[in-house]
Amino acid sequence: MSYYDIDDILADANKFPCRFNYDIPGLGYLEGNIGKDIKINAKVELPLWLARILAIVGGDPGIGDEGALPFVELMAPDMLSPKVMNAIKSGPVTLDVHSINSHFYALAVKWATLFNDRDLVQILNYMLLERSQEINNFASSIQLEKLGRGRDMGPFMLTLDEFEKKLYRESHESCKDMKKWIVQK
Amino acid sequence: MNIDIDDILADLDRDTTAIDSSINSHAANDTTILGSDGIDTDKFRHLPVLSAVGDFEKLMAHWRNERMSPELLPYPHLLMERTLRRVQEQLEHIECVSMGYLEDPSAENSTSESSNNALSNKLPLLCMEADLERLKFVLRSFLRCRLAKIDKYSLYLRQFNDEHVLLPLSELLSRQELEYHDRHSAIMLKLLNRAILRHMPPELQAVDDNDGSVKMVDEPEWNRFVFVYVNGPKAKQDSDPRLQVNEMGQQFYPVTIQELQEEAELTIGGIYVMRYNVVRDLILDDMVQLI
Repeated sequence: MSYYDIDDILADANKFPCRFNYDIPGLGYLEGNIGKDIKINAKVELPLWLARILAIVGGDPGIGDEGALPFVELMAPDMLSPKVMNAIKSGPVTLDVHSINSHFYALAVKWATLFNDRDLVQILNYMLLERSQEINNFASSIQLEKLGRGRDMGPFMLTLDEFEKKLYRESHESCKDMKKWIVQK
Repeated sequence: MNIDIDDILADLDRDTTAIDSSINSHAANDTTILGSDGIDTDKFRHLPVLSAVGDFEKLMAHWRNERMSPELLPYPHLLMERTLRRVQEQLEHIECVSMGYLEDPSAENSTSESSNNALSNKLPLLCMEADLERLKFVLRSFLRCRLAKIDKYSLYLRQFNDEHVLLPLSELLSRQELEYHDRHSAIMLKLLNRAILRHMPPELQAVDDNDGSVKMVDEPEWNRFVFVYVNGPKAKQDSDPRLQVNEMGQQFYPVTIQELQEEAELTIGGIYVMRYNVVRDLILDDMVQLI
């Protein structure tokens, strides 16, 4: 997660639902109607790189009723809803992470650091451990007949998110190189 | 009833080899003790005897550590100086030997003995060449790996030019690497400036802005996991104050993992997966190796 990391930039561009805590003139273009004001309690989808800052920085204490309320309030997104959490708890391996969000781990980690969410971290740890075992299984077995028939790698491969794909590719490469070296020596 | 005479035997052993080792160390005198004068003979024995084999082993250790560690390790100035000199010498040596090998058949052409001679000369020559290639590969890989890291952390390394840091940049990098770092970052900066940065508002033009929402200066991943092999101190077991003995009778280094507030024992000869910042001091002191 560094400044020039492409995956990090892409993950940051994912939109999160936010609720505004203030009336702000001129910001209507966030909602789609340019030139208008944004109203208090308006629900807007903001990219994470913007929402993260706005959720931390507070409005002017003199204007707001409670002083240090931040500009927006981040609301729990779909990808972290109880439904998904329960699905993870019940069976991480069968979960289609890619369809939930292609940068699931990166976003979940960002969310957990933003809110200090211990439960989420625990669930993620469990999920990553379970799934990485499966990834290791797939990476270390080069199924020749499957490779020969084409790129049909089974349904599990299609459910990986970007981070897991990287993990899979690297471990697969190292396994493949190792086997090649042993055979061709 | 056994009488343990191992130490007496060891004493005798040392006596027989004493002359040999003293000759060796005198021969290497001018290279060994740069900057430390007036060493009496008693102290002299504790100095590591410099040999080509030892230096190569050290180079391999440096190479492995550099390949696996997330940060740029200090450049082994003296070691590299010696190794590069040896490469040069060996290169000249091979040149000389092969010249002789060319001359030989012309001098005594017809005899079968000379062709036999030439054949027997060929094997050492091949060995020398292959060995030199091996050494040069390690050197090249080592330096390339360092250059890749210099590229990656060029902004971070810039901070080392400040006054308050522990290690000056000239210790960390060799002269050529310093030059590379300076000029490469200058070129990068010029490219970024010309292409994009000059269209930015002035307060957004810095490339090393750490106050924004995302840090622009890439630091090494201090808590990346690495594989370590604990090799312990060289030869003398009781010389290291950090070494302790556990209830199993094995020697170990106690290390503390900050985040978990947990103690871990690194027993000698063991292989562990550890966070880099936990074992960093031990790596720099050569007590553990990255693998």
